[in-house]
Amino acid sequence: MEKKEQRVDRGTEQFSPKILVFACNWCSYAAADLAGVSRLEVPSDFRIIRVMCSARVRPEFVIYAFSRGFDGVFILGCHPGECHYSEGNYYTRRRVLLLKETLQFMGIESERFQLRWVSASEGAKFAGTMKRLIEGIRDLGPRNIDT
Amino acid sequence: MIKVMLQKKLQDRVKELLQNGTVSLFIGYEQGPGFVYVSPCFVRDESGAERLVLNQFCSNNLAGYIHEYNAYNRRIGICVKGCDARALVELVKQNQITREDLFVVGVPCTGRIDISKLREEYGPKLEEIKGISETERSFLLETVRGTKEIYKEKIVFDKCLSCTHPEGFEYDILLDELKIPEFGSADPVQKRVEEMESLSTAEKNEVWCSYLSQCILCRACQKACYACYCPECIFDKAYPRWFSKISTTAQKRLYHLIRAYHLAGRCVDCGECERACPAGIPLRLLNKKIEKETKKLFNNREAGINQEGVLPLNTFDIDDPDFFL
Repeated sequence: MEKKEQRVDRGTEQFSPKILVFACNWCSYAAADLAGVSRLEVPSDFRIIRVMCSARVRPEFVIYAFSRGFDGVFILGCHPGECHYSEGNYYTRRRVLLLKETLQFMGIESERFQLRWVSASEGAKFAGTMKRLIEGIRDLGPRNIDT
Repeated sequence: MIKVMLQKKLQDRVKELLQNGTVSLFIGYEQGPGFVYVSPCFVRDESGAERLVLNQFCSNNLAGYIHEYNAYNRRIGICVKGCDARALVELVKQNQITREDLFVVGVPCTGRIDISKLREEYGPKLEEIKGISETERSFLLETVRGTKEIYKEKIVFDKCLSCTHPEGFEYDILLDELKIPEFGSADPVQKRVEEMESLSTAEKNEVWCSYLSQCILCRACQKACYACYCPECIFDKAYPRWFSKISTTAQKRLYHLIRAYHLAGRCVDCGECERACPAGIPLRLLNKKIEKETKKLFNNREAGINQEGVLPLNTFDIDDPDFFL
C-alpha cells in the first residue's frame, strides 16, 4: 500500500487539509459572501458547494466525499426554526447525528464531519467557525486514504 | 413427528388455497440439493404444493421476494416465521404492499439451524444427515451412522438467540401457536458492538479493513435484503456514478456505509445479509449499531414491532439532541 503524499501549504509548511463544505443558499452561502465582502480572514483549505437547503445534502454525498479522499466534510445551514423551507434543517440534524455515529463505527473520525448553523448576517461567525473547524481537522492530520 | 404433521398441514392448506383461488402464488420452502439445504419455492398450482417442506433448516426470510411479485395484482400467499412477520409489518408501513394483497401463513419456529455452525459442530459431511427431530433443549439429527444430539444454542442462528415477534400482527392462518423460543445464552452481536465501540478509531479502521478485504462486492447482502426495493438502485446508476466496481477498500467502505445507512430504522434484523454473504463478513454488526443509535437518540423502537409509527429519518422532533453542534 502506497501512502499518498501529504498536502502541505507552501507558505506556512503546515498540513493543508482538503475540505468540502455544503452551504445553504439562503444563509451560510450569504454569510460566506459577507465574510468576503467584510475582508475577514478565512482559511483557504475548503471548497464550497452551494445547496438550496442543508437537507438537500444526502448522506451519500458525504460518504462519497470521504471515499474520494476528503479530509473533512462540513454542512452549514440555517439556525433551527429559520429554515427557508420551514423545517429542512431539523431533518438534517437527525441525519447528521446518525451518520456521524455510523462513520465513527466504520473507522472515520466523527470530528471530520460537522454540522454548524450560520445565518446570513453572521459573516464573522462563518470566518470563526471555519477557522476552528479546520484547525480541528489539522490536529487530526490527514486521513488514512483507502486504496 | 410433529414437524412432519405440520408439513402435511401446510401442504394441505396451500393446496386448498390454490384450488379455491384465494391466492395465485404461494411462496414457501422446498428441498434443495440435500436434506440440510432448503431453498425458496414458488407454487402456482395445487400439484406443486407437494414440493413444500417445513423443517428446522427453513431459514430464508421469504418477505424479500414479495416486491418482485408485487405487480402480480393477485393475492400472494407466503409462509413466515414470527421474526419474518416483522419484515411484512415494515413493508406495509413503508407502503410497498397492502395487507389485503397478502395471505400470511404463520409457521411455528423453535430456532433455525445455521449451516455454517452445524458444519463446525458436526463436521463437513452434512449429506449424511437424513432427518431431524427435536426435544426441549436439543436437536436430534438422524444420520446414516445413528442419531446425534446437539444442543440448540450451539447451532441456531445468532439472531434466534434474541428472537422478537411483531406486536398484534394478524396471521391469516396459524399452523400452530407461535411462541418466542428461549435459549440459555444471549445474542453475541450486542456484545460485539460494545467491544467495537470501545476501540480507538484507528483500531476500528483496522478491523473494518480486514473485514472489507474479504468483500468481493457481489452485493448478495443487498439482494437478500427484504428492504432493498428501489426500482433504480444508487449503486447501478451510470450518471451520476456513485459507485465504481473497482474493488478497492474505499469502494467497499462506501458500499457498506450506504447500504447500512439506507436501512436505518428499517432493518428488522433478520440476518439475511450475513447469511447470504459468501465471505462471512459480520454485517449484522453494522446494522445492530445503527439500530442501537436510532433507539438511543430518537427514542425509536425496533423496526417491525409496531404496526404504527413513522421511519425515524422521515420525521423529526424539535427537541432532537444537538450536543454535537
